[in-house]
Parts: sequence; structure tokens; C-alpha cells
Amino acid sequence: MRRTGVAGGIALAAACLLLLAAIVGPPLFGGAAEAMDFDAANTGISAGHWLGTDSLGRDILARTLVATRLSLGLALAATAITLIFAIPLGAALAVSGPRLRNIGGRVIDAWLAFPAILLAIVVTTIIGPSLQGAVLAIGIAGIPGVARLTFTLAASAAGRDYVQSARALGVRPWRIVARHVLPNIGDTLAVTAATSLGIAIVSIASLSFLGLGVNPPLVDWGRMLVEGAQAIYVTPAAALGPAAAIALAGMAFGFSGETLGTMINPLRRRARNMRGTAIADVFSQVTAGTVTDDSVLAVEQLGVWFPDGRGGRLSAVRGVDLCVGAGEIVGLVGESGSGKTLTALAAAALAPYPARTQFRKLALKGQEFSLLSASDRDRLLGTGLAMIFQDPSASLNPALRIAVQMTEGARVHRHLAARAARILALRRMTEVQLAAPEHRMRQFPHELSGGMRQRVMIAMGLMNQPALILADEPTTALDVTVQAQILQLLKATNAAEQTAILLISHDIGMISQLCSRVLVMYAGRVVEDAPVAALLRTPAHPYTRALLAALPDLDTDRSKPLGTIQGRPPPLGALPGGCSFHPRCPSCMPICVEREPPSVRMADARSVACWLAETP
Amino acid sequence: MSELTIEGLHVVFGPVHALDGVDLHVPTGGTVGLVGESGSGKSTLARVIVQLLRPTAGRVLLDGEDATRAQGQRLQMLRRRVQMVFQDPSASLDPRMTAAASIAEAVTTHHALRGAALAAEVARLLELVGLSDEIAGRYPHEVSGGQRQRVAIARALAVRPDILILDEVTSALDVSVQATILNLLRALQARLGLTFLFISHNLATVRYMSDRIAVMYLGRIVEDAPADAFFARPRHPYARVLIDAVPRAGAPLAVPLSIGDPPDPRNPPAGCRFHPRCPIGPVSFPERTICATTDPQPLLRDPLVRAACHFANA
Repeated sequence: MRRTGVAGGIALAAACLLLLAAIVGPPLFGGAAEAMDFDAANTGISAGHWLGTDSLGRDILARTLVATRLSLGLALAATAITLIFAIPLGAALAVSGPRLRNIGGRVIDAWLAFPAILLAIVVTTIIGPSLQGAVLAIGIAGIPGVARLTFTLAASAAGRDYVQSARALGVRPWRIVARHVLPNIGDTLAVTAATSLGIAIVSIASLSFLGLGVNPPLVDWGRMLVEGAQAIYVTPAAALGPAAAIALAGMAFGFSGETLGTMINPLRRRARNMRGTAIADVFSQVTAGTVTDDSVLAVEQLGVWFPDGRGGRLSAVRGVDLCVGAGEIVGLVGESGSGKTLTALAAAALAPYPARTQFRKLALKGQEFSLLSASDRDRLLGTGLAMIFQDPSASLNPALRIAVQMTEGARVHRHLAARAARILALRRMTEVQLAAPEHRMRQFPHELSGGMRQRVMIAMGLMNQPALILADEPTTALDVTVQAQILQLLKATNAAEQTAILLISHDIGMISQLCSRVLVMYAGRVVEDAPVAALLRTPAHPYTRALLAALPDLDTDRSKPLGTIQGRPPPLGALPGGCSFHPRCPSCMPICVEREPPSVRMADARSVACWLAETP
Repeated sequence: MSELTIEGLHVVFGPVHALDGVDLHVPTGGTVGLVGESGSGKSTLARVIVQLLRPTAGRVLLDGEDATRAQGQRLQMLRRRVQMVFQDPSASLDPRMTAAASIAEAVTTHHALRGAALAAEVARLLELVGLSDEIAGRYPHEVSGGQRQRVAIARALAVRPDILILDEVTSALDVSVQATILNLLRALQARLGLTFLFISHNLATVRYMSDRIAVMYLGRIVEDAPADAFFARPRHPYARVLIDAVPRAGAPLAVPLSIGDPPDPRNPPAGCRFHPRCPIGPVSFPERTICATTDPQPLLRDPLVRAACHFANA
């Protein structure tokens, strides 16, 4: 990531130097470039002539520098022609009607099929070899490529909701293009413009080299290359100067495009900084726990934090205690950013890099993680736990058939033979109500509907008879009728095989229908942990109360406004002192501002982290 | 007056009949909730109403005037009256424009305001949706999801529309934010006398917002009833399934597993399009062959309820 930044910077600097040479070259070195010295004709590299001299004894370095103006000038003119015609053409096609768009697209594609240099040669032969001819030819030859790109980018930008909104508002088409489409593809077009300039430099030099562009007495790099090539057996250095200049300029403008694009669009810079995060698990346990009770998943004092880049920590999950018994379905609710997903991922040793995990205890099926070797831990996770994510199309490999993906885990972790794994897969698929499992096995993920894909995910999870299923928003991406079926499947699996399930969702209705116990998370902490009935009847934490009041259900009084929570959740790293909820809490007391409430075990099997709850 | 009437609307995309004869009436100042699963045609209908899409056949009437045939100035005028708010405000706001710029653009498309007058109008709109002035200069990525959706609502209101099409406006938001947006919309409706078409797949929010409920299935409206009657006694079996699918504490998981997935819209079933999944159809009652052969018409079951089912609860 940093290296591309450096390379881009160097390219941009080189491009600037070239532009500088184009400006100051002729006045500074014009004299030296024209000075003939027949005594020193065709000399090689020497102290007086760093790149040697040509057949008339002129200094090649000086001539190369002087020729920069013409070479770059012609290339800039050609690129300008390309952009002036190509961008409006592509943009206009993108927002035009389907018929015109279709025809225009075909024409551009056909035009694009011709090699640009061939097209340029044809054009110059028609209008005769001249400066103007070369510029026009290269400019025209570049149009289809840029037009096609603009068309594709603009068409995709035109499909965005903000363009649709503008159209619905009645904003005029030309204004939509100028205001909403072009600025949002400007960075990519800048990259293209810079690359086109690089290509134009090389192309014009090629035309001059073929005698179709610049002719004496004018010189550009291509023309110099001709002269250098004629003398190549006498002084090889003569071709070096212009050749290096062409290559350098081509690369400098080509590479500086990306840097320019990043400078134009700040969003692009942000996206680049996000790149390069890999999945890794980093453990650092606080104290080694002991092997204990019969819960399937037992977590004590789980913390997940991110380094803030200045040596500090941004805590995303703080002191979470979590316990799921065999045959139990426990719900984890909270709004986005509350840490519910990170909690589950950390329990499966899947917290995303650069998150760090720490815990006093983390045990699956009674086996303490910190006492296991890495390979034993992987094996335990591979066979003991299954994960079901929100978007099944993102968690299935699109390039592999269902059969391969279904059987892979069982073959790796349980060393099942291919045939046995296949039979087991078919059985699991039947159990999750997938019709025609034999047929499904041969299909690819994209051939299945969203509901079928999620069923495949569940069937896949069940292959190794896991003791625990972590289901993170397993139905959010699905239709309601399909959601109902998936929930039934989870419930049936839980009942039939005593599989423990940790169900993560923002939907309290769904959680309360399926779970026996619910944990409510806020700002990385579990603020309430209670049996479902008690939580719904008498929510103890003010946040739980507010959340329930905000969510309409089929019995909500329509004549009243919904309950709301003032303010918004604190961002990571800016937690308020005391209780994290106190700035938004309707029952805030002085102590809430000063001290964070401990999680207190109440009489009715619930734990609440609130100063009000301490005196029931 | 600002009533919206849709008559016999058809939209065909290649092999898909996205809208297949849709009739709907949204009375002045009322809210009709439109529910249905993905692919049922809800969003297509919304796009036809706000003229982003031309229907293959049928009419969209605004106070009796056909908006799908309007052109030029007349079209601009009708466009102004019906506005739409989209699901995801981070996609529906131009990322390169500040809140004030987005709203100002909408204002100036229909009112020639500039300078201080324009700034005052933008401030009025921001205040209308409960945003403070300091939001004006911010870009979409600099404000919270709820604030973004308020900006999108302010932009829609900037042209002083009579009718708002609300397409899944809270689906991308957290529960507590959803509540504030729903409250805001109801307050705006009361204050400005707006007419709403509230589209959502979430039956609980639809119930909270709507006076009438219309259910879509594969491009058709299969039930259209007053909200109270709909929830108390749904007539169409698909409406029953949708209500049963809403998760509730203590309620059993009532949707039969045999119902399967929604069919492929490119290849809809013959007869009643719901029959292969229907709990009271030929799958459970083999003698009900009519469902597989004859398309049920959306008949009036009582003066206020339409349901397209041969065996609808009378």
C-alpha cells in the first residue's frame, strides 16, 4: 500500500519535471541544440556531451530536452481531442434512451476493435503526413477507448439512487450529467486522461518514427529516434536519449494517473487505507482459566480492542460474560456498533485483524482455549462450532459446486472418505428441507435462491454435528416467509440434536420468539442478561426499555408516537465516563456520570448493569 | 386534493412481467402500506409512480390527470407533486454534495430562488425535518444514518410535493433511529397534509404507519383492505402467511416449512400465482383444481376489502 503511494509520487514528480523541461527546454538549451560542430559529429558518450552528438555534431541531450516541448505539446493536443469528444459522447450515451444507447454502444465497440495505431496510419495517409494529421489521428484513435470507459462508468453512476432521486425531482438531464455523474467518475477519468497522455506520447513518437508525423526541420523524440537509428552502428548512444525520453514520459504519465485520481477523490484515499486487512486471531489471555462446567460455550470477561495507532486501545467489547448451555438458544441483541458480532467472532477465534482478543476464560465444550495447542484449537473450532452469516451468497464460494463445499469440512476435520461425506451431505440437505438434494449438489451457489443458499449454509454447518451454532443475523437478507422457515429449521436442529445456538440479531421480536435467554449489548457491554419472558415483561435496564418502546410490533398503539432514544451511541474510543448510556438515559443520576455500574445478579436469574437496578 | 390512482398498470422487462395489472387507490392525506417480498414489484410500482420508469400499459392518475402521458412543462409540474424517498440514504444522496447543496438543488429545479432567499428556504427545510443548521455544510459521510435519511426527506419536501412514495425508508436504519424517522414522517404528514405510499417488507412498521394495506405477490395486488380489518381478518391466504411470519414473543413458529421459496418471476405459475405455495390451495386440498387453472380476480369481499383468491374468507 505504501509502496504504490511512493511509486505514484515518483511518477508524478517525473511528469512535473517533464512539463518543466517542455517549458524551459527551448529557451535554455535551444542554442546548444542547434550548435553544429562537425569536428565532434557522431561522438559517443563523453564529458562534454552526456548522450553524445548526432551526425551534424549537435548535442543529443540538449536536443532531447528541446524536443520535449513539441513531443508533449502534440501529445497533449491529441489527448485533448480524445477527451473533448469521448467524454461527452460516452456520458450522453449513458443517459440516453435504450435504443440509441444500444446502437451507440455497438458502434464504439466496432471502432474499438481497430488497433489505434492502424487507425492513425489510415487517417494520416488520407490527410497526408503532417503535424496536424498526426495529432488528429492519435486523438481520434483514442476516442473509442475513453468513450467506452466513460459510457460504462457513467451508466453505472446513472443507476445510483442519487441520480434517480435527481431525476424524480425533475433535474434536467444535462445538469444531472454535469452535477451528479461526471464529478463522481472524475477521479477515474483523470486516471484515464493521464494514461491516454502516456499512450499519445508513445503513439506520436511512433508516427514520427514512421515518417508520418513530425518532419525536419522540426524535431520530436520520434524524429530523433529515426536519426539515432540511422546512426545506430556508428554511435549507439544516439538512439538512447530519445528512446529513454519516450519510455520515461510514457511511464511517468501512465503511473501518475492513479495518484492524481486519489488526490481528486478523498473517498478513494479512504478506501485504499482500508485495504489489506486479513483475518487473523490474536489471543492474549488475562489468566489461564480452568476446565469447568457443562456449558457448550463459556466466556468470561471477554474483551476485544483495536490499536488506535498511537499506542492506545479502542475497546469494542468490554468484559462480556456469556454462557450457552446444551440445547439452549441464547439471543444477543444490540444496535449496529454495539459489539454483538465482534463478541461472536471473538468466541470463534475469528476477530478480524487488527482486533485483539483477551479473556479470563473461553471454553468450547468444556475445553479451555488457552490450554490447547493451535492445531487442537483449530480442530475443536472446526468440528465443535458452525457459523451462519447474514449473507449466504458472500459466505459460499461462487466458483465451487455445492457438493465440494458441503463435504470439504467433514473430509478435512473428520477424515471422512468422499463417498461417506457425500451420503452425509445428502442427509443433511434433506434435513434442512432442500428439495432434490442430488441435483443441488451439482449446482453452483448462483443457481440457488437466497433461501436455498442459507439452507445450504445450515446443512454445511451441521455436517460435523457441531455442539454450537453461531448465527449472526441469519435471516436479515431473506424474505419474511423464508425467514420464518429458516428460524424453524434452527429451532428443529436445536430440539433434535441439543445443539446450542447463539442467535445474534437486531430484531427483538425474532429473538424473543426463539430464545430462552437474551443478552442486550450497548457500547461493547452486556447491559442486561435475562430470561426472555422477564425481559419483555419488566425490562430492568433503561436501554432495554427504550429499545422495546422504539420497536413497533403488531400490537403497538398506533395513536401514539413510538418511543425514541435521544442522541446516538458513542463512537469507538469516545466512550463517556461512568455508565456508557448515561448521556442518553432518561433516569440518569449523579453516580451514573462518575462510575461505571457493575453487572449485578438479581433474584430472578437476570444480570443488570445499572445503578438503578442495584436496589430491586 | 392530492389523490393517487393507479389503473391497470403493466410493466414488462424482457421475460419478466414485473407489474401485471395493478390497480391501487391512495386517498388524499391517507397512508397506504404496500407489502410484499423481494421481486413482488413494489419498487417497480414506486418507480412508475414517480416517472422514473414508463409503464408498458396502464395509467397513473394524479387527481384524475394521467401523469404517464404528460410531457414538457406539464410533466415537470406533475413530477413536483409526487416525490420519493429511497431505502438507503447513503446511496440516494450524492456523496460529493453537502446537505445544503443537495436540498438547494431540489429547491431550484422548481422555484427560482437564489442567494439569501435560497439559504433561508434550505434552513426552513432542515428545521422541518428536525436538523440543526450545522448539518447544512456537512457531506453525507459526515453525518449519522438517521440524519442522512432526514436530509433525503428534506430534499424530497423541497419541491413542496403533495404525495410521498416511501420505499423501505427505515430498512437500512437501526431500531432506535427507525422510530425517530417514523415519528417524523407521521408528524410531517399531520402538519403538511401529505399523502403517503409506504412500502416495506416489515409488517409491523407498515401497520404502525398505514390506514390501508395492499399486499403484492408476483406483480399483482392480491389483497387491499383497511389496516384494522387486514390484521384482524386477512382474506387472502398469502396475507395470512405474511402476518404469521412476523416473529413474536410466545407465538409459535406458524409458517409451514412446505411453503418453500418464492417462485422465479420469469416463469410464474399458471392460474393463481400463489397456488404452489398456498396452505389452502391444491397442495393441501387436491379438489381445488381451479387454483391451478383459473386466475382469481380481485373481487370485493365487502365494500372495503378486495382479495384475489377463489377461496378467500368471505
